[in-house]
Amino acid sequence: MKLKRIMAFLLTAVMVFGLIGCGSSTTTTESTETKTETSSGTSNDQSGGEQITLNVWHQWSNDTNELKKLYEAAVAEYEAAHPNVKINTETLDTEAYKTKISAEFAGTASGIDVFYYWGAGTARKLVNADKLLPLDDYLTDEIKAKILPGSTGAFEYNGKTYSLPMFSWYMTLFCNKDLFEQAGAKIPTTYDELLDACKKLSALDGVTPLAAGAKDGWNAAFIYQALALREVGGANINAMLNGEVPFSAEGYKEAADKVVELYNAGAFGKNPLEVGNDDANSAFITGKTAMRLMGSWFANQVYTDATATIDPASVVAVKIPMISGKGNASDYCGGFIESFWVNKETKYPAEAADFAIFINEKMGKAAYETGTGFSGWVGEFDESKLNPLFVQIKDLLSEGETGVLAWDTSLDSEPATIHNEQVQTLFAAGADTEAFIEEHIAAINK
Amino acid sequence: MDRILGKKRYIAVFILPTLLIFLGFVVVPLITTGIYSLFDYDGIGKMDFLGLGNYIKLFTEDRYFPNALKNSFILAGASIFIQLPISFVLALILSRGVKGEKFFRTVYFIPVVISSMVIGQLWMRIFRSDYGLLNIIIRALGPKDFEYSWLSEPKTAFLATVVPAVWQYIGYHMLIFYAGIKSISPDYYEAAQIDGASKLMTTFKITIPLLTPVIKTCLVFSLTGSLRSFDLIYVMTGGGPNHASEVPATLMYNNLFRKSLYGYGSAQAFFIVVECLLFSLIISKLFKRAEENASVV
Repeated sequence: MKLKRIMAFLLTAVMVFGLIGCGSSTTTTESTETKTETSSGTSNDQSGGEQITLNVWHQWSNDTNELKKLYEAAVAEYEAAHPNVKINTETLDTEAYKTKISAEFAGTASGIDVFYYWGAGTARKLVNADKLLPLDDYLTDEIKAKILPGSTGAFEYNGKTYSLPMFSWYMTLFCNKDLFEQAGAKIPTTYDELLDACKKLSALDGVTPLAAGAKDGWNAAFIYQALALREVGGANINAMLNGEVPFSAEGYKEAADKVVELYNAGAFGKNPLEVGNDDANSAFITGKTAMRLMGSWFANQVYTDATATIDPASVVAVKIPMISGKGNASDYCGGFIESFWVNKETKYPAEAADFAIFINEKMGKAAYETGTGFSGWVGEFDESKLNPLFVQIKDLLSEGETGVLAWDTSLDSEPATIHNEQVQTLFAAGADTEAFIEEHIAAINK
Repeated sequence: MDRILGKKRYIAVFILPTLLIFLGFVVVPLITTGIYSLFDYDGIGKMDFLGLGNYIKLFTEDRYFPNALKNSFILAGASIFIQLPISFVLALILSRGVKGEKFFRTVYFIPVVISSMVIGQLWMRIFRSDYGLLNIIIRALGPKDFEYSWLSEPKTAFLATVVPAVWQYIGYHMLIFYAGIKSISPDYYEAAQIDGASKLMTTFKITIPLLTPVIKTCLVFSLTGSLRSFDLIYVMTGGGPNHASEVPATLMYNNLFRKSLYGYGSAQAFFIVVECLLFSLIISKLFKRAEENASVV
């Protein structure tokens, strides 16, 4: 009974593979319009041209997300100005979005014309595989004049510009003044003051001095990267991230030792690995923690989150504390990393590039005016809605010169992942900083 | 009806839709995964042929893989020796016709219906050091300042994920056993009763032997489910802290979607498939004789 055995085998196989599937991606609506011939080099489309549809993807999928509303307003404005262009937008949540983009670009990503992505190390893979359209041919002098100097580093590869900045972020130490006063501690400007403040704050009942959010690797990485910035200096870290100099123990190990020192002093509470980003943010706005080291976008949450119980006016934004005798006060963590890019395979390169340039500028402006990020474009801004905390951060940023992006966006995906995993090991008892350094050397200097 | 079902042509027509879906969603991806696993590939760029390089790396160089494999076997052991017996006993009790049979059946089945995400979140709260239910109970019974973090300590992180993983599917296996027991003809029990067999005797001499095929099914589900477990562990610990609670599937996920090692991740995926198949075949072999003797259900 050969057949029976084959059937039995197949049935077993069905049982075993019950859960193994592979997300086959369905492409979104294809535009059926015929290709319009546009002379490349001009980014102004001729009205009265044929109707075309551009498929745009981004990751602001949540309807409550302010950026999503701003994006939709910008699209409406663009469509009004270009009656022959229809923008068809698709969104997914961050993690799913990353997977989706990777899967699409394994092929030709035919359902994507313009898409949101992260520059530096994240987009490098796409550039190397020749999947992205350089925008140099579409950049007129007028456009170039509007771009903030020094904001395009994360979008340039091999001398070509693949995207333009949208808005930047700035790593800030948010401090709750009231809790500091209760503990008799001083808002820290140096590492020693930070350590001292943590010791005093940990005496307060039910208060964690600094909420690390270390359950999320990138949160843990923020704290390490801040200390490394002060130990090693921004220029040296950038050289390391760009592969110009190898990763070595010098300075980096001291930074790791300082994280361990803070942990041992009770700075992050007893079990920092239990608490993730969202919980740590809510701990800060409900007065359960005195400090939070976070990107500038957090300022908005302090003022707008309905669950907040602290007085937003009591929150002070300060620079990453200095380490005496090291680093430069003008170094900061942050910069331009997210923006809209163009698929090289798009049927309408001129229109797609035009829209990408437009949306990057618009979103930069809108993000700034709502106190979410700092625009990469010069121009007239309405600052009436900025919250006081964001204005504080803006003043800090104005003193900044050398910015270091989050390591996991600068490095390739493998060392980036290892870095985020390894920093988490510093937030537990018995951390081994020697091993931490060795893992980094092995991953980054490959 | 028999005449229709007897013709091969008709059988083919009935099988075809499912077969097509099975081929499209299982066989084809499986083959492509197998192909990817032979390359050094980042998912987007060039594919460099490595042959069995990824597999060699997996078994000789991967520092986390042996531990991940060990963890998945621990989970499989817990499923087979803890989960299945509990399910079986519950099914026995329920099928005896206790009061509120329907109610209990539903209650035990609830965890199966709830999404793993929710279960993961629920148990994460239970294992929390500060307001976790487990620590609150411990503090009530003994040391007042007990603040152990079950999920962020390497020693206990994995075991803490095993508990909900075992708990989650008790109801599922219970239901399969229950249906099996219910379908055994009462004649056997009546005969046994007349012969003066005790309840325990009938269980061992009648119920279990007649349930052999059902037990086999549950074993296969339980074992393969453990070997490719992913969701709960991913939600609760993500394989951490410092890789202490990795299983092959979480490692695979990390390699594929975080580190962009598509070739290497595919090799891990393919290994999991082969491993599950192998164990299913072994169980089938072991049960072959027992099944021939019992064929009621």
